Amino acid sequence: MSRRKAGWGSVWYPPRGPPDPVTLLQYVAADVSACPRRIPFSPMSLISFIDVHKDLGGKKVLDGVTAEIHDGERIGLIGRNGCGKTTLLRMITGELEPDSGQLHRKKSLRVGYLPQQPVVREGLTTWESALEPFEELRAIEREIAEVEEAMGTADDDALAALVERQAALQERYTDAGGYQYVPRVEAALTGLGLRTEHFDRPVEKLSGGEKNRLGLAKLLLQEPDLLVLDEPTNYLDIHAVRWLEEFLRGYKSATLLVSHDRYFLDRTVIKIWEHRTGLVDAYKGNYSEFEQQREERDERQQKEFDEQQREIARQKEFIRKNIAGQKTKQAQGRRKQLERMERIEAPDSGEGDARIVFEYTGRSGNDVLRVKGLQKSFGDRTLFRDLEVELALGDRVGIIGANGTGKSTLLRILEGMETPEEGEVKVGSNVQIGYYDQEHRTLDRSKTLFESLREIVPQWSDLEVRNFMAAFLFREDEVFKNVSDASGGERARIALARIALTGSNFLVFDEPTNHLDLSSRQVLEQALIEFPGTLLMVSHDRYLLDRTVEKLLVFDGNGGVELFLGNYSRYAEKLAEREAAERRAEDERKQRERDDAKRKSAKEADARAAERKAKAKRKFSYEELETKIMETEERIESIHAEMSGEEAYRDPERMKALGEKLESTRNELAELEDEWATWG
Amino acid sequence: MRRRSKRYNEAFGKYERNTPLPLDEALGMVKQFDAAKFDETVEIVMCLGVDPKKSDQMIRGAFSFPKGIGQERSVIVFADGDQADAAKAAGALEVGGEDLVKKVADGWTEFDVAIAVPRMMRFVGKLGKVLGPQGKMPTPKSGTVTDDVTTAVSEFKAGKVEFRVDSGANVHAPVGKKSFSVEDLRANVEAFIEHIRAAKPTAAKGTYIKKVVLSSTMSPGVLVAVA
Repeated sequence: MSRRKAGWGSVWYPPRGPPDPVTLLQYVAADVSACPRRIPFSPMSLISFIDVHKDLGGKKVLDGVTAEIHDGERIGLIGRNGCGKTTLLRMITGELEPDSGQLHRKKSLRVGYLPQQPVVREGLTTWESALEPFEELRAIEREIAEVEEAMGTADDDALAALVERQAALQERYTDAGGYQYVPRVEAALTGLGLRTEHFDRPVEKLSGGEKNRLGLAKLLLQEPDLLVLDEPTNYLDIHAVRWLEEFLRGYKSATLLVSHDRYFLDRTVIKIWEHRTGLVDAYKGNYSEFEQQREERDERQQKEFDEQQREIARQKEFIRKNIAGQKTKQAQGRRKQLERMERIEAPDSGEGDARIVFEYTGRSGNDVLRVKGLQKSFGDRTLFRDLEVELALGDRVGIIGANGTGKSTLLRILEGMETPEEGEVKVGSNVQIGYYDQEHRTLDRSKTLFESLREIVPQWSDLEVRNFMAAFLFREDEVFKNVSDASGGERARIALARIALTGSNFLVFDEPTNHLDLSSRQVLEQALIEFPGTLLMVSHDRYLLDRTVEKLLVFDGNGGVELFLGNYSRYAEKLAEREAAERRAEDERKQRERDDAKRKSAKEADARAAERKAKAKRKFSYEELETKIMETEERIESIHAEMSGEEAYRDPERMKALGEKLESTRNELAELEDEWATWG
Repeated sequence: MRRRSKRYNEAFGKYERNTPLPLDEALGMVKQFDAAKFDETVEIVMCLGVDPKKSDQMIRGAFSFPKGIGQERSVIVFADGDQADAAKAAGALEVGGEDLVKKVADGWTEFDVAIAVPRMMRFVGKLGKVLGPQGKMPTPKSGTVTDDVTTAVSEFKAGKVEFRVDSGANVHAPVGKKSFSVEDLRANVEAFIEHIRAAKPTAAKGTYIKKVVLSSTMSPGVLVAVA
C-alpha cells in the first residue's frame, strides 16, 4: 500500500488520468510512480476536488484544484471578484462538472446552496414560499384530504381500502415530520427577523435583505449536510449579520461561505480557502490568522525564489564561462541540472487594484435636494411618513436601518423609479444624479459588459473603452462576458464604471459594496472620499460609512426617520449608550419589582407566621368559643347582680371576694375575646 | 452531568451491568431493587436489527398481555348509532361522532387510547395534528380502527398496549407492575418477545433481536439473555 504522511491528513498517490469511478481501493493499488502530484484524499470527506480543471469563456478558472471539505468544517472561500469562486460553488452543488480531474461527493450528500441573489418564485406569499421545501409533506396532506373526501361516499369495501390508504399516508406523514414542519418554518422565519406580519406579503414585495433572509430560512429548513452560502451578508442589516454569525458558529453541519467581509469571516470560519490564479490554497484559522500565514508564506516563498534566482545566475555564469573551455563537461552537466531544476515561482502579487474616479460634472446649486412630507406604504405597512430631507452642496449622508424599512425605496423615489403617496421631491438646479442600484436593474442582461459601457460613450473607440474597462479590472476576453454570466462583483464594477463615465455631481448609491472584494471596496472608499460633489448612500458597511459620510438618516422601521449628525461609529456609540441606559432602566425596574415582590412575600410570610402562631394558641373551636364568651359574660352579669345585693353590701369581706372574682372573670373574657379575634 | 440518586447507584452496584441474565434472574433483580413510594411499572425495551427509516422494516402494532399490565386505560370511541351504544356498554370514557371530534380538536386529550369505526375516519383524520404527535391516532395496524368496538374497548381498557419501533430501532412496552409475581411478569415478557419475533419483517437482515432490557420506572436496566 502506498500511503505517506503529508501536511494535513493522509495522502494517496492516484495514477495519471484517474480511473472512474474513484474508489479508495483503486487509489491504494495505484502505481505511485505514475502520479503527477501529491493528492490529499480522505474517505471521510464530504467532497473532494482532485486536480480539477475548468475553463469558462476561454479563461482558466480552475487549474488543478485539489481540496476537500470534512464534516463540521466551516470554511471561508475568498478571492478576487470574477476569479471563479462562484464556479467552484456551482461545481459543489452539481450545477457544473469539471473539464478534467475528479470531483468526488459523499454518497447521498445533501448540499444547500444560497446564491448571491436568491431566486424566489414570484406569485407566492412569504409563508407559501417558505413552505416550498416541504412540498412532499404538503402533497401527502392533499392526498389525505382527498382520501377523506372519498370516504364520505364510499361503500364498505371501498371504505376499508380507503382507511388502509389513509393510515399508510398518516404514517408516512408522521415519519417525515409532518407534525413539526409548520412550527419549524415559523421559528426559522422569525429567527431570521421576518416578522409574522411579513408572512402574507407577496415575495416580490420583499426587500433585497428580506429575500435573502427568506432564501436562507428555506435553506436551513432543508437541513443540508453541506451549507454553501455565496456572500450571505450582502443585503443583510447589521443585526441580521450578527444573528447569522451566531447561527453559523452553532451550526453542526459543514459550511462553505464566500464573503468579503473580514469581520464576518473572523467570527465564523475555522479554515480559509484562498482562490487565486486558478488554484485553491487552504489555511487553518480565521481570516486574521490567514493573513498572517499568507504573509509568512509569501515572505518564505520570496526568499526561496530569490535564493534560487541567485543560484541560477551563478550556474548560468559558470556555464557561460566554461562551456567552451576545459570544464565543458562540467558546464554541460550543470546546464542539464539547470534544465531539470524545479523552478520556484515568485509569490503572486495579484492582478492590481481597480482604479475608480467618478467624473464630476461641475458644481450644482447650493440646494441639492429637498424632500417634503414624503410618505410611502406597501399595503397597510407604512415605510415612512412626513419625511423631510434637505441636502446642501457637498453634504455626505449615509442611510441606515433594518432590512425592509424603505431605504432603497426612498432612493428609487429620488431617481423617479417609484412615486410617493404624498409629499414632494425637489432636485436643485444643475444637479446630475448618478444612481447605483443594488440589484443592478439598470444593466441590460442581454448585453455584454463591453456593450453596457459602450452605450454610454458611443463616440469612444473600442480601444478607449477597453482601456477604461481595464481600470475596473476587466481584462482580455472578460470584457465580452454577458451581463447575465458575470459575477455579482463584475456586475457591481460595470455599474460603477457606467456611473463614473456618465458623470454626476450627486451620487445616490444603494449598497455599493455588496459583491465587491476587499481591495475593490477600499478603492471605492477612496473614490467616494475624493468625490467633490454630494453623496447620499445606503450601506450596511460600517467602515465605508465611517470613512465617507458625516450625517446619517436612520430608518426606525415604524415609519419614522431620524437625522443623526456624525458618522457610523459615533452613531454606534450613541446607540450603545442608549441601549445601555435602557438596559440599566430595565434592570432597575426588574430589581424594584423583585424588591417589591420580596417585601410583599416577607410581609405575607410574617402575616402567615402570625396567623400560625395565633392558631397554635387557640384552645377552642369557634362554636365553643362563642359559647364560652356568652357564659363568661353571663357570669360577669351575675357577679354584678350579686355585688349590688344588700347581703354583699353589708359584708365587706364578701364584697372584696366578689371584686376579685369580677376582675379575674373579666380577664378571662378578655383572653377569650382575643382568641375570638384570631378567627378574623 | 446527570446526577443519579443514591437508590439508583445502590441498585447499580448489585449486578454486572453488561452481563445478560436469564429472564427469571433478570426479573428477580428488577423486583429486588429498592422500591419507590409507588407501585412501579416494569418495562421492556428491545433493540432490533431493523432500519426504521425504511417503511418495509417498520414494526408497529398492539398487544394484549396475558396477565394484563396492572392498570386500566381510558378509552374514547368515535362512533355513532348502535356502535356508540356498544362502546358505551363496553366501558368507554367518552363516545361520540363529530361532536367528540370537535371536543378533541379543541384540545381535550385526557384519554389513553382513541378507537374509531371506519365510517368515522373521514372526520377523525382531521385530528392528525392533535393525536398524531401523541401517538393516539387510530390506525387499522394497531387495531384501533375497527367495527368491533366492544372487543376493542374491553381489550384496550384491560391494558392492550400499542407499540412502534422508534428512530433508534427500539421497541418499548410496559409489561406489568412491580407488585406482579415473577411468574406473571415472565408470562407477559415471553409473550411480548414472541410477538415481536413473529413480526420480523422479511427485509430485516442480520441479528433481529439485538438486545433486551428490563427495568422498572425508577431503576437501572438489566440485560436479559434471549435465545
